[in-house]
Amino acid sequence: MSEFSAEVFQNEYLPAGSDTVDAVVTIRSGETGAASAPASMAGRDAVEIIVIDTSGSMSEEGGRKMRGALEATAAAIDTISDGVQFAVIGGNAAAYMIYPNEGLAVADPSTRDQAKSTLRRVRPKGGTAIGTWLRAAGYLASQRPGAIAHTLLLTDGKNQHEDDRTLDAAIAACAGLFQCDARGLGTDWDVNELRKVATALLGTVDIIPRPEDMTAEFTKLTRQAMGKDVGRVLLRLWTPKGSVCEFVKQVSPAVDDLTTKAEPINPLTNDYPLGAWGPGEERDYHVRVRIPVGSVGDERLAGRVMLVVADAEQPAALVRAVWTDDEALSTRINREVAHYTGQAELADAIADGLAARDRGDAATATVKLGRAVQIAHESGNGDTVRLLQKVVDVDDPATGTVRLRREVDRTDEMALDVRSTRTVRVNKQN
Amino acid sequence: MVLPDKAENGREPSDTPQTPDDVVVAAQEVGEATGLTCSACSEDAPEGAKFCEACGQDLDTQPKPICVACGEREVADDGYCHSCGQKQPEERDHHVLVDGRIAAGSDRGRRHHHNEDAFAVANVGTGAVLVVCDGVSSTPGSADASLAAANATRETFLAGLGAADIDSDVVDVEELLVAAVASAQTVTVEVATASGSETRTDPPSSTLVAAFAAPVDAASADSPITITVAWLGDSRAYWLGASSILLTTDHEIGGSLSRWIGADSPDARPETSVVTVDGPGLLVVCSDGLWRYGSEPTELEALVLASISGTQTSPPSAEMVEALLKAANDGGGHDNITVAVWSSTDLGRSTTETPDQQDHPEEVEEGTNE
Repeated sequence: MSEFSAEVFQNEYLPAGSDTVDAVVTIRSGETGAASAPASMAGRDAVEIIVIDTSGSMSEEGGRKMRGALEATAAAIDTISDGVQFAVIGGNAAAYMIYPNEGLAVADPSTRDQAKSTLRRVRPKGGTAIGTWLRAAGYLASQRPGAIAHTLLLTDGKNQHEDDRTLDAAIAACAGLFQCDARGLGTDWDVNELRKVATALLGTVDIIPRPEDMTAEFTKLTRQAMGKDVGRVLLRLWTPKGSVCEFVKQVSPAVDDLTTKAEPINPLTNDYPLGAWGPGEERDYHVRVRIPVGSVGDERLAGRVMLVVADAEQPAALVRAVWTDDEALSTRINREVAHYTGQAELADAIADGLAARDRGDAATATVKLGRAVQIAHESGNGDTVRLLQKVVDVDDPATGTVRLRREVDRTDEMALDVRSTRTVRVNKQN
Repeated sequence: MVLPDKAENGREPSDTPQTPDDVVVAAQEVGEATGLTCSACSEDAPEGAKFCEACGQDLDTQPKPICVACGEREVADDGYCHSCGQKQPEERDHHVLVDGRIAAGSDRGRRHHHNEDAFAVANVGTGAVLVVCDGVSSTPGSADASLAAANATRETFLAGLGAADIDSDVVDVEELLVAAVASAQTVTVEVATASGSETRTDPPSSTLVAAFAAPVDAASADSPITITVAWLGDSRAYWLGASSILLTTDHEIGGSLSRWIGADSPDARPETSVVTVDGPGLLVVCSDGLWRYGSEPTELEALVLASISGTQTSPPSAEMVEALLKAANDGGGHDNITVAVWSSTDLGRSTTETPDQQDHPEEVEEGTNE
């Protein structure tokens, strides 16, 4: 079993009367042997489910979309390690098994070949009902409780054959059953729908602009999933009596607010799901706690961070609060906290800027996207700067002076939207 | 200053050794105070019980300590309360010691996060040596340096006295104190060297005041008292008696120390003074964390008298020292607070006669029978 570790970055010194404690917690999973990722999941209890959109719209572009999706699925099947339980589900207004006929198959050379040959029979037809697809995946995953379950979901359209409530209920029903990476092909899908799916199911969301990009993306995601060797890691956070946990956010590799996912363990302790981990992974979390104010000179624990791996608690990292009237101490800026506070603001500025642009509020959009350029530039988030440059013309990144572009490719706009939460680590500075 | 005498007068120091009866009573009381109590339901349990008869709790599991801040029995192994989060004080944050005619104590204060003050004391015949060091809080490692310096001063001084008859004039106490301070300087530099900080611009450093007081005539209760003091920095010695006086002059220029011990000290030789005063009275040695709340001898005297007035026992006592530390904290606790007090006379102070024991004379009898 991997040994996890946690490290806290904070300025523990608070001015008199202050009640807010910020800390960045870096969590690392242990290295297990040679990090030959695809082999990690072999022999483990793991489930991989591929859900592909086979609705009528997939026949567009002369069938390139459907062909691309099937080729990508075949590549993903080839990436599944021996011994992993897997299935391929087709989705339209309903969900149906492509392979196997029912339940899950165990991956080996012969089942992988059978699965790939079955793909040839798939024909695009019908509507889109993502909630129904998810429930089908959830049903399969529920047959292997305790397994590390991952679903790769592809759609090219909006969830037209279900109302929001049906989708939300399906997402809720699947939470904890599997993790889901959701991908949208082209530009006719709804970023918010897939983001909702990925956020609730501890996965990622992204755009695949062209059909020919799918194989690389499917292969990458399946390989990543095969690399996970520990499922259902929990961050267990104790905070003192009378305190309020303002938020617990993953801030690296991407911003993901976990606050509402808190599962109370006792009145002072909550668990936050961190999903599955591979060896040598490192993620950062920003925790903000408001605690009862102490006297100058007092030291209190504001948080005790533990990790629950395979139902066992692993060592704690301490978030502290020390009240002082020494301004040299209390005004010290912690680099990690400041950096990730900025990265979270960056994500918000992009979301706000794009929303303002959508409703025709050019003034707000210019200010917000300008601010986003400024933060991305300052923090060395080059990928986000490049995405922003496709939506705005940058006159001066240092001051965030930008002009909205009149002609913006829909793909670029959606790419900026889905990737707005990606962060860089503090040491990549400039 | 007239010292209140609260216990029976006329008891000699030789009365203090406990009789066998006293010992038995003390042991019984300890047993009652810490007797088995279930940590889960608070039921009492007989000695040696493994499980609580009321609720079944395993009595072998040590109950957690009680938090100093919220009173919950929730202090975790790492010293933080598992309910309110309060860090429990470390031993050095607040400690008080009573030994013969000496009472001493040190407290972190309200503003500092560590206690860099230290003291070392010893009764020497009918006299005593008191040492207080105030580590400079702006320099890392000063807490270690001050403790090492205080202990070295006391040990070197006591070793110098050796088997010599200190009540005779053969020994030059002043010279011994100067040598003791030199040893304190040596260990302070060693602390710096051990941490690799001796070449820094701010190696660990400390003030130091060491005072030795002894009656001129050990056989006479009314004897005048000779006090020898050696010091560097702004920690002070006072004599509080018929006339109260300050025995030291601060080494300070424009708010900064002008003399101290430490690797960067320009001159670590102490200033010394020798005075003879009329007894009875109290020798008080303290850091600026105390005297800033009562600098003039009359002010410090008032502070000390106030600390005695609320206590049940004769000075110098733990209660008195606690009261002095509290007074400084109530005044703001701006710095670490350290005070060591020696009384020139034994004022019949006795801790064996407590009201509690007088209420249960029959237990003495039971104890004797066992």
